[in-house]
Amino acid sequence: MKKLLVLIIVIVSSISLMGCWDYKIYEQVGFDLQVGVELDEGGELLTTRVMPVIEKENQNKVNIYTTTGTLIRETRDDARLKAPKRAEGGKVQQVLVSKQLAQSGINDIFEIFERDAINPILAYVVVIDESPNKLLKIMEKFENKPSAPFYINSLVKNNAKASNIAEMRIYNFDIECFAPGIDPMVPIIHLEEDQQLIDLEKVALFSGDKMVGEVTIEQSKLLLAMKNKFKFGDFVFKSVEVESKLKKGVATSLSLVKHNMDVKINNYKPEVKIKLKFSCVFNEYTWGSLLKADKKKQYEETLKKEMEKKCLEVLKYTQDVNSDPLGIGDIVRAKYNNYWKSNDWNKVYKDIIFDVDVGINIAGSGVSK
Amino acid sequence: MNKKNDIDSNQLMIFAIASQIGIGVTTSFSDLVMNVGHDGWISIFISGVIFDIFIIFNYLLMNRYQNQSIFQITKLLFGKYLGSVINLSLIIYTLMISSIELHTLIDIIRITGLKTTPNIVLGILIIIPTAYLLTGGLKHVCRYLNIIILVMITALIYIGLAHKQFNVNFLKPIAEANISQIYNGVKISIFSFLGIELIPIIYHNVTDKSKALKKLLLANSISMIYYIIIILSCVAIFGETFMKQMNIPLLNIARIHYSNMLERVDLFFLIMWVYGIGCTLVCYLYSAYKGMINLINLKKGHLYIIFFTCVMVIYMDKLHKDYISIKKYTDYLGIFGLGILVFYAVCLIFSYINKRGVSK
Repeated sequence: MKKLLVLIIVIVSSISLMGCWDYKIYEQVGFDLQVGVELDEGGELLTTRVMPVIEKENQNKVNIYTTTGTLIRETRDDARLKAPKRAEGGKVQQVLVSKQLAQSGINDIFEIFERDAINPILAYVVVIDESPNKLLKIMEKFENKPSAPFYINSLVKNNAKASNIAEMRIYNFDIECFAPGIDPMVPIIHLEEDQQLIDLEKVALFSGDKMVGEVTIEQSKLLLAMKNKFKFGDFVFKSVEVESKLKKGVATSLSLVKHNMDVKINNYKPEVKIKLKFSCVFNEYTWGSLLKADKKKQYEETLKKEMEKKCLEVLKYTQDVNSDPLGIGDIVRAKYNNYWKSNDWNKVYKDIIFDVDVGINIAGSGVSK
Repeated sequence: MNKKNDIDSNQLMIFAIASQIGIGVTTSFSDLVMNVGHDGWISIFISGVIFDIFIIFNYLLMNRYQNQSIFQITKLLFGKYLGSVINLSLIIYTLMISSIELHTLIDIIRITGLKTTPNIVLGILIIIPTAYLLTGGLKHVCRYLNIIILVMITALIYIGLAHKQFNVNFLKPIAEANISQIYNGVKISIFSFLGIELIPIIYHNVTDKSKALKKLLLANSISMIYYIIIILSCVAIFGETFMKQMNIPLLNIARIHYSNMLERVDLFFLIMWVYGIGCTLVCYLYSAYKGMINLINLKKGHLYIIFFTCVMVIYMDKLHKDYISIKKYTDYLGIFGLGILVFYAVCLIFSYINKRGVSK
């Protein structure tokens, strides 16, 4: 009798109790796939939400809702008053921030993503060099292109995988923003309206949560290599002279095989020695230029010098804008804590003496000689 | 002795781990980091060692009364009336902790998923299987508690998968915190080890008592190492400054995982962790139920007591109006829990004066 009673309770409860207070019918929910944030003329937050249209006939279509408010949640609530489906943030793929807003500080925007467990902290952070609202509205009209959320997501994801840019999701940004002595690097995208394209053109350097400068994608790769976050990527070296009327330089694939960063305090000044060792394969060169032993050494030396020069240039730039993307401050804090405590890192960072030693081993030249 | 309550020393160890870990992880590690910074693990280590001493006192006391639970020992030591008052306070303590565990469980479910489902519905749905488990006796409870191992392994897998995010510099310089900070940290982390105070309630059911001390010390060490792994991982991933902003850092570790095949990987972790907290709930609820049977000296009608215990816990859950009151109750109960352990040590000393019921 007792077992029968238990069995009945189990069967009845499993049929009738299906979390019915909180169930959400897929067709009735509008998923925010992108959230664009910028400041409007009155200094309030202007958010643009992109929701996919879930209908068989309009598979590539999105709905855009623009709302303003002083809080992100306020703008979402406002969007719920406009959208036919209930706006939910659980599927946000990217948070697009205008450059103007990025320059004034953006960490507060991400607080809601951390606080509400339903919001994903895995969304990418992307800076847009103009208005996210304008960009998303123009992208809505793109023909024969994936819709904005999928386009930008693939663009950012593929380039992060190719070590062109840092993988900067919300939690990465928050970690680097909160940690003293490390600053985030966020990709910048640019709209090429005529060609109906999005161009991942630069990377923003931050100091804390404020954007303070921007570097090229090549410089971003060098910074990632010096940060030991570079796995495998393509580089073009213009300083190599080739016997061709058309071509200038060589295209290579590099993989970082050894990384070493030594931070020391000498005469009350930090000195940073970075050693990088790459394995290199020539991807594009010219006909008949054989990689003989003496030529190989000569090329390796040329590539090394070009890379060292570029590394020092980008490090100098980070010092000029006072952004520490390599996290040298964090190493000093960990290793020379008394020095860290007795100095203002923002002032000290500008005086760091950098020394970069690059080793390149040309390991192959593809199928051709 | 009732066979369905007989357990061996391994099951005792699982009971100790389960009663510690579930509530321990909900104890805010961010509070610890707020006080001690990245050296929070030192405070956890010290708290673990302090609890080793408490365990030894527990063991010595229980060994003097081989087949008696603490509810009977108090009566032997302090007489029927004072003993009953002490037992009643022990019962209220276990009921209160059960209600806090239940509330924490409900809170986590509400924060992460079921936002609009009423507390009472979630509470009843959690308590029904727990109550059913209690009807099976201690042996069944301990068998169920084995699930804590699975929960712990799941958390370790999540931490392992996040190893690429580790920044060892976040953990340095080691031992930067001063003695006063570490002491403050001990005051916070010591509550994570509570659960051991339940051992004298079930100890008389252990069949191989000769191995009990070794297994209890092992259980405490496992809990300590586990907490240290969690706090080191959380600090290494998020850094101490960011971690100070978090309520349950372990949950944030689950949130940073992504998979091409699965959405919301954190929910899989959450489902497991609900079982983890459920384990602690079962331990305290079982202790409360046993205490009540002993208090009213009931021979039959145990099902009514289980029902009454569960109703009490659900009713007490209503006392916790917000997170401030939860924090307040947790702090008071933590102190009371430590007081219970000190009381056991006092009982041990007193048992050399009043030798009534002491095993020869």
